[in-house]
Amino acid sequence: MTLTFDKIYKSYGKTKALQGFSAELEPGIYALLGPNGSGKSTLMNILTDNLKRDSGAILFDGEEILKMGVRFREKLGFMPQYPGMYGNFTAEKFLWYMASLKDIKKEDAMEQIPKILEEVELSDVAHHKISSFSGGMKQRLALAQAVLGDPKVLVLDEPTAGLDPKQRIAIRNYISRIAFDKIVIIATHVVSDIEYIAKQVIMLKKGIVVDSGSPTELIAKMDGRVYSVPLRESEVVDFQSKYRVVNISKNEKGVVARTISDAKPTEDSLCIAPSLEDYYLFVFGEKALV
Amino acid sequence: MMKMVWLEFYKIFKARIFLVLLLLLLLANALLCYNTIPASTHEGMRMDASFWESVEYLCKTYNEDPEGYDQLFAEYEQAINEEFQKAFEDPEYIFDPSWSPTLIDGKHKDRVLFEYADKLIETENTYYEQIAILREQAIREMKQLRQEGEDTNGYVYRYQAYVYNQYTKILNETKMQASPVFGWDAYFSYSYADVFVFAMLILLSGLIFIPEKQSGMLPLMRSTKRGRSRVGIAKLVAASAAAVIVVLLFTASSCFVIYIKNGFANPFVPIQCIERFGTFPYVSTVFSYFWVLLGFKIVSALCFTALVTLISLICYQVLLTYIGGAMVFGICFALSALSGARFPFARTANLLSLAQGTPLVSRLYALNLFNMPVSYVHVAAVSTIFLTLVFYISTLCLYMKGNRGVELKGLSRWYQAVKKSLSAYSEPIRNWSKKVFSFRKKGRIHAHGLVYWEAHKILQYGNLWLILILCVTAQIIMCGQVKENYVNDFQYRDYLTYYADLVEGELSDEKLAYVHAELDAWAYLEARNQTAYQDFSSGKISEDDYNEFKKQYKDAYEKRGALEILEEKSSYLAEHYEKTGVKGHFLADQGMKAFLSTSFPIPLYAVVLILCVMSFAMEYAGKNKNDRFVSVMRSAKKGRKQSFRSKYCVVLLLILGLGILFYSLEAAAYMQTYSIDRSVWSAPLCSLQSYSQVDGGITIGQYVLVLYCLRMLALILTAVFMISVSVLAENLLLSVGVCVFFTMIPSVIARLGLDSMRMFDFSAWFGANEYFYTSAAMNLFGNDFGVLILFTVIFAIITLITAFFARKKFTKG
Repeated sequence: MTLTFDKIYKSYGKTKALQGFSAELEPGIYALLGPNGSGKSTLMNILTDNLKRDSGAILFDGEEILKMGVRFREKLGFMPQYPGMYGNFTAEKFLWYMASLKDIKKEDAMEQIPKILEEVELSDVAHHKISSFSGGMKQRLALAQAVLGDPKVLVLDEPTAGLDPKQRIAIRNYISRIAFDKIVIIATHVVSDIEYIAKQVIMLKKGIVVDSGSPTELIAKMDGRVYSVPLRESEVVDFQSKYRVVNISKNEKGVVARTISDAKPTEDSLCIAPSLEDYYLFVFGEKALV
Repeated sequence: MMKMVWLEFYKIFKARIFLVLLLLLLLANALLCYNTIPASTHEGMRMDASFWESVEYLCKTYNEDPEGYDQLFAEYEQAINEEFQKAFEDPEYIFDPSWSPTLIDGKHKDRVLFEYADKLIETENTYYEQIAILREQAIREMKQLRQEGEDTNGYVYRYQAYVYNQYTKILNETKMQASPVFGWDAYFSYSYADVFVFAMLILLSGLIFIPEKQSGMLPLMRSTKRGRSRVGIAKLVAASAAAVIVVLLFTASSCFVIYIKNGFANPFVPIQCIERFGTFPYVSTVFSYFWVLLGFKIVSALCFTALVTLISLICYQVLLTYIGGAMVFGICFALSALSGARFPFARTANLLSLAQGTPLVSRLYALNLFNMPVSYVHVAAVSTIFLTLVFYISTLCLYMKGNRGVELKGLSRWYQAVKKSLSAYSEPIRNWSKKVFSFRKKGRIHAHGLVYWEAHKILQYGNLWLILILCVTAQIIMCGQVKENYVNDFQYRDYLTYYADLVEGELSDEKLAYVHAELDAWAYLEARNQTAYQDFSSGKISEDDYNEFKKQYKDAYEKRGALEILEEKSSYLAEHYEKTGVKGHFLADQGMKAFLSTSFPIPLYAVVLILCVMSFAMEYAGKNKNDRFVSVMRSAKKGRKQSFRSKYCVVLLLILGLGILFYSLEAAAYMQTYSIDRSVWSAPLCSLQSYSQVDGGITIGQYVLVLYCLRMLALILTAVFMISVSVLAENLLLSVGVCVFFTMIPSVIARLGLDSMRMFDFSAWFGANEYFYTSAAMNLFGNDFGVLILFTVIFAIITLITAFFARKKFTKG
């Protein structure tokens, strides 16, 4: 099973959202990393045929998805970032409606829906109205409808937004479990969510793929560039103006700044093991803070 | 503070649902007003400003120069007699009974001018008599009370003295005059606008406090420095201002429509010049009364808004607020419908009656306050203002204190508790039903079709139910207003009494001969009347003969109105037969004309509009493109073509059901009010003069069938068009705007007098009946239905094209 993106271009007037995006995806989890406006949502909408591309092709097992039409959508599960759901529906009813939309057989729906609700920890509130849900619960329900019907291509936009750490881990593990025979594309800002589960990370900047590779490969590029720098509180502001500081933490002795630098910033700096987040910030610089 | 008030005001008017409903209801009010108020025409003659000037001239002449008035009338009578003499002398001369000289202004029929002048003069003359009667009644009562030993300082005596003094004041200070009051009488009798205003105020009240609670802004707001008292006051001030604006807008729309249709007479005349205000117990001009009534409307609107806003703050639930508001309105409506004689206070002292001015035009009722009679009007006004303040202060205090609102979870706990306690009793029933229905599969069965889910989505939408309830209520109220207006037409009642049974049925030579014989007999008596007295005086005929003649003449004179109608009908039927070869029937129209005059059903149009534009707009709701559910829907296997078809199917089925409901209510109201005889259904449609344009022999029954089929077809086509627009527009407000623009603008232009637009009058086509007149008159392709069919085909083509593009957009993107 292969999903191929071949030179996808998309512009909104003068703004170029995607500039020749190309990638070949096989079963596994693929993370799209990039700041706001990098083209992640545009790509997802093009893939789900909610947006027309200017040029390029998207092939599923060698066949253009637009030609496949219904046959491709049959294999698709989509979770947008802030899905508009029907407040007056209960969670269970909503999934039944989605089952109807996805043309899932009644017997299969009867089997899948309770399981999925259990997996996303919504079985206790299955008969409650969606309007009474918290943001995190709505997020989980949106994920539930995406995975309903066992789609082969799963497109998730910020699946862990609004979830607490425990739920984040649970969802991450859940996605990891179900992804072995699927192509899962996750767009996220939360690097830690995909760092351990993604097969490949694609870094997007202003519609262009600036880098891609496995998390390990990308992290390796930061070897020798990440330092732990002890500072006095009064030195922090000045230090930040000179170096790219990823994180500042306090200890008994003062402040420790996690810094990205090609050379050792201070005498007592310590070179530490990099993370994917360090590479993200290295690539996107101040824009990553936006 | 003013900035805060302005921001709260901005929030109200920024709410799409408020603007949409306001526009819709304003339009509905304008159309309803236009269709409801009687046209200022008489015998095809428009009663414009020059007509009323001539009437006023006659009234002035009557008052200032009675001899001059008599002279004018004598000249008019002479002209009539000369005309009649021509008919008498020359048998071949055709006397038109509707003919009248135009000696007074050279433009309008003198007969009509005198008729209207006489009415106004009679109003003026009887006014003083009526007031005198009321004063005398009060004097008699006081005398009797004194005789009975009643304390003159007691309330009962004081009340009679109050009535006497009030009417004496009116008698002394009101300079009654015979003045036309066109426009104003229509405005003061048109009361539907208040219903629309109250509907808007219910919606407005739901927008004051609830949105912040729902969006989560409320805790944030209340935690700020000015987020309690100042925000609370600003909200209430903004709500009051919005309520006042709503009242003013509806008043303006009614006035505008009446001005367009009839114009307005001079308002600086006593209000008592309007017939229904004959015993109005205060000194006032029409102008002053207009402003006082507007003041009452505003006060009642503010009180209603304050109360429903308080309800909204207590429950913080939109649906409960709407229900609460509807209940308050319902109570006011029920009280206003009570008998004024038996429940005077309840009938007048409610918000709806106050808004309609009922306390002002009722009799001079008073309440006993500390042994003093105090008018209902004053009591109603003061107590309303007082209650408004109480509601506002309570609302402010509650907002400042903070409350959590009604938690439906709590209600569901109550429900569960009640259910549990009843389960012991329901156990045997449940066991029995399990045995009976054991063939059903176990476990939860969910309907799986998209049609079911689309229906579920639409029917779950709370605001739709509110609109549906409002529209059905409006339809029921309108149906309840169906009146037997022919009852007031005394001439027609005479026709029914004397001639209807004799000539009923198909036109025949015998019937025509009978009519001519009756006309000849009357003509003879009329001519004989000129000379009968002279003959008696000169001894040519005996007293008995003269008395016998007088009796005959008197009997014939009483029937002359009915004879006029009979002659009119027979002439019409004879001419129509000559022209078309279709023999019409003499019909005793006991309501068929009224039934077939039903026009554009505004409540149905409103509900169709909202349901259709909402159908797809709800899928496109969202702050930006990525948030819309439609993107998830379209990515699913059946989320395109099948969903598109299912939605259309569901909405059209609902529309069909609603159409049947609304038209059934209408038909039932007319059938109940009028006793429409069975024989009428088989009579040719052209038997009714209003359908004189119809050349073919279609029967009334066939026409009614065709009429309702056309209405349902128009309903379906309109629904398809509007649903398609909602797909293309992707936005509720835009969809409403486009639909209203394309359907209503040509109608409005046509009704403003541009005849060439009559062919594009959508509202007439939607109601079908009115459009049929146009079609029959134009007689395209030699067919009465020619234009109707043409318009239907054109609209169907436009609808199909729109639907094609909508489908393409939704399925292909």
